[in-house]
Amino acid sequence: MIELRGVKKTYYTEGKETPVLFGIDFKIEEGDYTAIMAPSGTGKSTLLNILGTLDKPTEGKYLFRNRDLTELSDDELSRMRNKSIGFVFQLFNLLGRVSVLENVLLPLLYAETYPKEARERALRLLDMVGLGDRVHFKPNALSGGQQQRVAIARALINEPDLLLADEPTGNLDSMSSEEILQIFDEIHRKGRTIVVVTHERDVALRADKIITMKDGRVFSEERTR
Amino acid sequence: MNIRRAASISLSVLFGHKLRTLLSSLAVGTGVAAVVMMVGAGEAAKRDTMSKIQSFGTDLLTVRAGRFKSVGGRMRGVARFTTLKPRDAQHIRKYVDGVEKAGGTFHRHATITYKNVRTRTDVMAVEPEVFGIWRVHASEGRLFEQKDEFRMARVCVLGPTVKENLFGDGDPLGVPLKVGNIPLKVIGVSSPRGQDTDGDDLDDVIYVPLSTGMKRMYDVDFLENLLIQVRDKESMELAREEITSILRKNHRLKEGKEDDFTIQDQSQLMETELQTQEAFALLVAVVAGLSLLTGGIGIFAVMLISLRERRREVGLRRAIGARHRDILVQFLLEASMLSLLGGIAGEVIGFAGCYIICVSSGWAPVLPLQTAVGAFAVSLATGLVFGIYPAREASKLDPAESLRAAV
Repeated sequence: MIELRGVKKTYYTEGKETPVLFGIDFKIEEGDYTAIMAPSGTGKSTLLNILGTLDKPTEGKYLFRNRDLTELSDDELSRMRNKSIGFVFQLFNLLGRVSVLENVLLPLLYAETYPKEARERALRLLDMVGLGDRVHFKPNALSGGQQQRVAIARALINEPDLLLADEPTGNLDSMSSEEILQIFDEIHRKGRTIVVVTHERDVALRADKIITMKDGRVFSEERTR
Repeated sequence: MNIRRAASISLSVLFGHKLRTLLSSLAVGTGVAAVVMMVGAGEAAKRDTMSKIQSFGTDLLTVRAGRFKSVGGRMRGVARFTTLKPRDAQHIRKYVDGVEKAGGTFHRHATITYKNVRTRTDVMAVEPEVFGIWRVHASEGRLFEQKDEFRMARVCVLGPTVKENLFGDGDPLGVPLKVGNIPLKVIGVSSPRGQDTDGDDLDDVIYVPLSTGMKRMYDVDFLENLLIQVRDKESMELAREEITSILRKNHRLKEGKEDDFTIQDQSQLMETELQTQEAFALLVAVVAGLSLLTGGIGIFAVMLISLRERRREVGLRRAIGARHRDILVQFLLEASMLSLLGGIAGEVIGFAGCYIICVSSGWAPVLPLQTAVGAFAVSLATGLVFGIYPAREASKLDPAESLRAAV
């Protein structure tokens, strides 16, 4: 479903070149649960941003369902993110003053059409992540783990092809982390493609495949089962 | 993007930051309130003046003994003369075509004594025809007539305020008063005339026959004003010319010499008065506009500050599919909601303030609907204009970078 071909990224600041990615190649198949493992400072965030179309590669191709995303306009990429990619961030990134339900519905604000059963869908997702009784709470009244579960529900509201998670457990205690990972397992079981970027081996081991990065290159690819 | 849903989310955000919202709305609200209040009050004052001038009659010419110039929008005497005589009034009555009534007046301040009550008021010496010109009638007793004028009768008519001050509910008719040192008999009380355009009470006055005032009381032989009522508006211009030539002849003014009198008509009075008020209204509008500008700057500041703390939110919204345009619209929406909120509050306060000013000044309250709509539109525009820069900045943020921004 996803294929990176020779993706390079170089940042230019004040005439100085800082190469970050030196040519990345890998494929992710439909329904895969993949972990990208990398210590910090190895271009992990950059790769994630490129996968999420928040950043463009300097060189190379990014094929998403055989479509080269590097050729799309900014508006087209926004639409693409809205429809096909669900994001889960390390810091949750919920709107603090807006209810849990409204947070989950937020991506639909930018959708082409607003589905009639949006509310039901949101409630169902909140049920799935175990927050069916918290829909009218404000995020600041929830624990970190609960907030991350709201963020997962939000990521799934548009039924994206790809769920992209950036250190989803990085700010959570081990119990909350386990809950989040179980939810990921379940989402995966239902057939959705998941990419998790992490530096924790425990988290990576939940995936089917681990891609390890080192110094801006793919160091190894291994199947866990 | 669905604007209604976007607006509802923006509202949640704004109400989430109550203090911030309150302060910036307040800035705009103050501006709107100032505009509505001041323009409304100005309009009420203007209408009040117009109705007063109207009530004096638009067919009235006033000859004033002296040269008057409009200084700062107000007629001021720059030179006074003692050349305007009762004879001039007679000649005008007699010879000028289209003159219905004409009468001379002058006034002095005097102390009035009744038993042991003393009060200071204006003594207005008038010919009987002046009552007709002013549309004054007797509310008690009678007004003096031509025969009183002829006999220099020791009589007077009280203005309602003086009657109230000296007698309260009592009956003043036939009572002897001392005006200065002259004993006069009260023969009537006049109907009220209200206030003049400066807000002075026209009823705090005692009327005496012109001849009584000139000869018995003050020993003068000249008039201050000569009031002339013409048949209709059309007769005005011609009458004015004839009056000028009669007065110039009577006053023996040689060719080329300046008039020693000034003829004013209602439209002139109205013009001066309105000029003053319009100048004032302009000033007020500028000041009020400035406070609206301040409000706009308030919104600008709030939006810019909130942009700093909301970089991550912008990043998130971009990540979940918002385009540049959507971010722009969202921030503009919030800015205009802030100004709209302020606008509504300002309108309410402004109307209330306008009403209070009008009532306490004795003007008929005016609801400046046009102004209200205008101020509302301007406040909305203020929000949009001052919201544009922050909104553009927000929409230009790099999504990947803003997601990494510290909280």
